[in-house]
Amino acid sequence: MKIKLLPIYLTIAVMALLQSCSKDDDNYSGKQTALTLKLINPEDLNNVTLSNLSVSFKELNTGKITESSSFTNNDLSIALSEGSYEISINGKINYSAGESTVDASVSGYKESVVITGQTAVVSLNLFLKTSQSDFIIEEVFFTGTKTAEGKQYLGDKYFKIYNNTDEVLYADGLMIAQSEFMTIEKQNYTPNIMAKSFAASAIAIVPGNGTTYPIAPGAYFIIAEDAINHKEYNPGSMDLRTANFEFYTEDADDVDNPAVPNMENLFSSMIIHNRGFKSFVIARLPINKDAFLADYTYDYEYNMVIGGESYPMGESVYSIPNSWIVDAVNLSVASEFQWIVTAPSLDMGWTYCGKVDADQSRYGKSVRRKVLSTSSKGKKALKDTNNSTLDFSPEVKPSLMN
Amino acid sequence: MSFRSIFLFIIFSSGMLHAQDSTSVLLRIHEDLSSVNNFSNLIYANPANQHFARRYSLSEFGAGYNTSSQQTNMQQLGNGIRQFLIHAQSHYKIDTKNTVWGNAYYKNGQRKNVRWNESSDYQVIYPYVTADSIGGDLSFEEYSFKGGYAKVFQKTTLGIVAEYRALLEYRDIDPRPKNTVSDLKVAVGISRNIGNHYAIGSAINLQKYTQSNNLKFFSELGAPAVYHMTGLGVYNNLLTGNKLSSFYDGKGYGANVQLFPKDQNGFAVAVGYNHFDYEKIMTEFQDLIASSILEKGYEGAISYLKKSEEQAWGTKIGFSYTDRAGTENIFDNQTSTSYVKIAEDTKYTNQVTSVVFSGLYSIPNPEFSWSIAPSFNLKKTQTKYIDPLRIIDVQQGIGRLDFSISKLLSQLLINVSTSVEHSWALDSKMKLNDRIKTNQIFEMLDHNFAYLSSAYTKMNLGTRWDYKYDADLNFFVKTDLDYYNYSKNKNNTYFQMSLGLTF
Repeated sequence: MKIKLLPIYLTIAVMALLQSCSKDDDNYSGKQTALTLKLINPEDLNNVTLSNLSVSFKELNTGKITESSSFTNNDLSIALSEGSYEISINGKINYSAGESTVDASVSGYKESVVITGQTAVVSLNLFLKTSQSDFIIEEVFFTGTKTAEGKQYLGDKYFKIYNNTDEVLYADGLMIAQSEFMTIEKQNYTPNIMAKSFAASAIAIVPGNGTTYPIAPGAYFIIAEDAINHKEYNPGSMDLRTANFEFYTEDADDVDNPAVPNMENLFSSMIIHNRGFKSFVIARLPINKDAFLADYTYDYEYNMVIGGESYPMGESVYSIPNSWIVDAVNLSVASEFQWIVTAPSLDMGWTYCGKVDADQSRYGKSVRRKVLSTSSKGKKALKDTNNSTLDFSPEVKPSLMN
Repeated sequence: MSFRSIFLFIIFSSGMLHAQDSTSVLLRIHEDLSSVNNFSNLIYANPANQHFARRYSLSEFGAGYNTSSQQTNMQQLGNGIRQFLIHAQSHYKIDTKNTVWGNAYYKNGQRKNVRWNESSDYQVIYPYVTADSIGGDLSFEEYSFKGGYAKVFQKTTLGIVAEYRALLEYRDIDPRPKNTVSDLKVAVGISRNIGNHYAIGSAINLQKYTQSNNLKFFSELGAPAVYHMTGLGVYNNLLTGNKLSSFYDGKGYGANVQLFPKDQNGFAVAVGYNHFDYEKIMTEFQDLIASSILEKGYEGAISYLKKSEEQAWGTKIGFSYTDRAGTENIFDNQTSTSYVKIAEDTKYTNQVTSVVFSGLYSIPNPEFSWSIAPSFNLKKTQTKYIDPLRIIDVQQGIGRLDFSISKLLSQLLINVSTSVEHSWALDSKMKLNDRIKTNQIFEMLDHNFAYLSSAYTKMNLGTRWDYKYDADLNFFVKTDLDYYNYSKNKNNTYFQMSLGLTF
């Protein structure tokens, strides 16, 4: 009987299936591309030798970070899963300058590097890290506070600007600017000036005649949104009457403390983004204000693509050349991050308060630069490697809050 | 809801199919409940074979309430369900050559504490659910209609069946998903007599499945990130954040073959293949295809049943193997509003292999019948995500003993059934190569693994009282209680009660 043999066939088939599905290919990790990374030395340097190079590849879909330091001269070979990568490099450089040689730090950064196929070659420009001789941004309190009723409280944001040098510096004429672009929205902004300039949506400048506001080494000054005692209105906030400067916009519903000098609005007015999607720079203006306002406009265009439809957009703002910028900090949130909006030579990382868009836990927190060391006289040396991811402590208690 | 009015209309119009069977209603119910009758159920995947399923016509209309409380479960499924349902079913022999059957139900209820899943039908669409870290209770309404027709032409029988299910799931506080599912299945089949005793049949089936997900947040102060999960707690970073809408576009097809005795007395063999695939599309974001699933399922059973007026015994081996592979698209964010697909990779796999050995012994005398059915199921589930490497493998041995007894009195049929089941955790492993510290996602994986790899003992007690009101009208009350005891003394309980009419 044919039918009676069927249970036997079936049992054999089941056994075969049970065997066949015991796959043990645990080491397989997706489609790999053999990548060759070629580093290009900074321009106009002679007899360059690189050392202590380390590279980090971050894949944007998976968030996976692959690190390596196995360079042969300027090249590295590595197998990576197919993806879109953010590549950052740090290392030491030695080059000759006339008779002597110079030791310095070198960095490189490139985002949106698509690596697919069997093999790929990527070249990346290195740039020298400059040592700091002017102010740096020590702290940005951009989130604001929350009231007892659970509402947003406005007006108590501030910047803390620190003298990290051994000289007296003058705050007079220091510009502070908020980026036009957001780290959570990436578009093909044309013309693309980011490698050379910073697109600003608002610029304010410290008043003074050049020597009005001296700041000692290791000292700082505060620029507040409103230099008033916010505790009167929100017990969860802070007293900012001791701030050195405040932002003030005439003809707007803005509070003015006459005892505290106002920042001068060079372009637009400073409305600090409280979800932390914008970036900030401080800069020195080497030309007069009128010349700046006349010659440094930045008109850009892009196409906003929504649901397959393309909408032309554009705006007219100001640009600040990177060479004028003395410090920069990029802000973002992990869930929305798309790109950094400064040249990587200014800042190749970003810091945050809150991990998602409109994170409810961000209120009352600031980003603050890490302390490298404190001298016997009590002067702090702050960390400044032009990488905010490494230089800043995210989500910390604001230093002015008690 | 218009759901309800359509449903009630169909239920009441189906009541017109008043069963005109001269056999006593209690005998007809007895046939319906008989474990002998349901022993070789895989052959009914072919609608043509429904012609041979029953001797008698029977229709039932009922309403019920179910509640369950689960101290342990997959977090994505929640930890309990409370639902009200009305249901109707009918198997009607128009004459010796024409059979129609169908069922319909409407459910309205709530799933409790669903975590890491804001989508619906987890068992259909896993692992590509939309999720956030908040979750909560989900309200749902579901209805389903199924209707089939089989007709005999001399030695050949043709059958067709169609089934439609719709589900609406939502929450009225943040996060506020609104999900709608539409699931249509159609099958056509043929069977042909081989000699007087046996028939051979074959059917093909088609499925169209869609689900749309829309999440909303109303809170002024902020919202959690929304993740598009890709399996074993992994998610795509570029799609994380505020991409709140998605659409699952799925289809399935399959074929099966059966060889069986027309009177259910003898050997029966059935094998089937099913294919199901879907794409997850990010509506409101370029209609980007985020991921896709391809599932292939094989199943088969061979059974032998020997029955006479006095007794029946049977034995059966069933097997099933499902291979599910998930492919993700990899994007480059050229701009925030324009992602470009640069590669794809099959990163998620899930295989389930199951073999069931079962037996049956029954004394079918309607006056006082009883049956006992032991079974043993070997089940292996392997789930893997390749980068980062994460694995959950579980092997279970599930032994079960069913016992059912039914007593026919002049006006009353009493049926009591009970079962004891024990699942041995034969082997289980969880490997998470990228585990660094604990976070909510690793806690979820730990919680799910504890559930999947736990041994348990289950006890069931079911009763059904049928009271004959008229020769062809009957009232029934039915209750069912399941109690599971998992390791670490976690207990799951299910209770259901329904009452209705049979005619």
